Amino acid sequence: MKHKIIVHLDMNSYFASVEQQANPFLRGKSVAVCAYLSDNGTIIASSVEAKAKGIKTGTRVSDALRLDPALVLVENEPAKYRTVTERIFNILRSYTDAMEPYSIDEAFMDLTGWVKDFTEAEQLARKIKQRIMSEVGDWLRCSVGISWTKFLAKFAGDIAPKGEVLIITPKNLEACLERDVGSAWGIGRSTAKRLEMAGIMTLLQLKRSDPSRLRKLLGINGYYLWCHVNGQEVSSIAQEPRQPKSIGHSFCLPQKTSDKRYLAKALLKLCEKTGRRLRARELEAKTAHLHIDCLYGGSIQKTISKPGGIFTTDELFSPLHDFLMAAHMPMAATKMAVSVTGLSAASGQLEMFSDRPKRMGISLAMDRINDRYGEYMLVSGLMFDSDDLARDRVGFRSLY
Amino acid sequence: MLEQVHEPIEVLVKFYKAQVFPSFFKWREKTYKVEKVNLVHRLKEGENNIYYFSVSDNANFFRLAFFTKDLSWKIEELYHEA
Repeated sequence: MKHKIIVHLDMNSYFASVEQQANPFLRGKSVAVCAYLSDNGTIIASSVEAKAKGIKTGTRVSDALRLDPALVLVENEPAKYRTVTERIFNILRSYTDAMEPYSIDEAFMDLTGWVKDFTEAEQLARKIKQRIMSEVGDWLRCSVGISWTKFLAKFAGDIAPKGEVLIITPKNLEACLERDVGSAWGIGRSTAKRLEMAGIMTLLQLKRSDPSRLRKLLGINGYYLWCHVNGQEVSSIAQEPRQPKSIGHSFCLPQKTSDKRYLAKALLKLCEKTGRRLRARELEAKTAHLHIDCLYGGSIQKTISKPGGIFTTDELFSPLHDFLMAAHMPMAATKMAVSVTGLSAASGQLEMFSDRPKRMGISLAMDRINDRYGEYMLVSGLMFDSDDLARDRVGFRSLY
Repeated sequence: MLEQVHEPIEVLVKFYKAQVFPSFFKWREKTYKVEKVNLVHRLKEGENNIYYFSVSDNANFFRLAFFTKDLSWKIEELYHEA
């Protein structure tokens, strides 16, 4: 069977490059994009110039300023990045009907049937890079990986020199795999450690391992890893956006506190954001999760199952709020996260002895008002004066 | 040096390849020529779309906002080398 032609495109230093694209006076300077500009905030993206000075994603703002006092800090602006992503993805869609957004700055394309071979795919990749620069922004660069599986295309994109195109073919595969076993997509720190303890130090050794031994060591994921490095496809390019397995939001609290009133307000904001996304996708959830990180490493967690379904913000918030109010806080909270899982299409089933359909209707009506007049135009009283809590943010693995 | 401004401006636009771009704008009695439109992005606030034009001349960066709700323009940010 003829090989597939898969392309992975990864924008370089994305958020920082978009900021440098918008403001040309930031080009060539050390720029860092932060979720919040406070000293305790963390860097979520840094420019090539900042990276050269050791300022990476996750560096604390105060530490980054010590590394480079001339660093320009910019607060992140999701709408800007989403608009640019949309324009880049539209360019990609003009070359294939199988384009899968992987994150806000990464996407896969299946070019099988659209180009003859890897050489033509490389020419097309260079054309796409050129179009991104001429149609979206001349400061935007991307790395492109080309191969015959999704894993190898992403691996090629990850190891390609910044701004370049790398093709992994059956001929150069083994040479490309002569790297630490933890350096590939999907191999986390703990998996890498287990592989190393089993004497598998490089990706090449992983390729040459016995798949049944890997299955014993890591379960089915061990077998999938073996397939990945041996160029066997175990997934495909999704033509339609995949249904999410979970929806959630998290918030690093700007003030470390155990004040339950403040925490309840933050919880409601996270529940409203989660509920809005759930309802916009016409889904309901079976399970809700609350996770609160505390100072010095402690945490509080709660999972609540609701077989009848979670659809309205109140159905999500009420049980988590009850838990929060009763919970003992050993230390001040630093981060709060809310998520829902067990997602399925909202049933809208009528219930004889409950006013749930009515409350669902009210919830949808409130959403429509907020859609029309702006987010948080109509909210519960507890959310009053909560503009600064859990503002719109975008993560690297999120698409929107 | 970045300054937040949020003041109304008068704008002269040009239409090019079915898109609109600010060409000149008047702010605080001074007229500025837009040398380059570096980036355009959109923010949706309910039914109101705000189009942000990140533009520059030879010495400054400006962020101009166009509000579809009332067809008004504002300058929101100004960046110049200190």
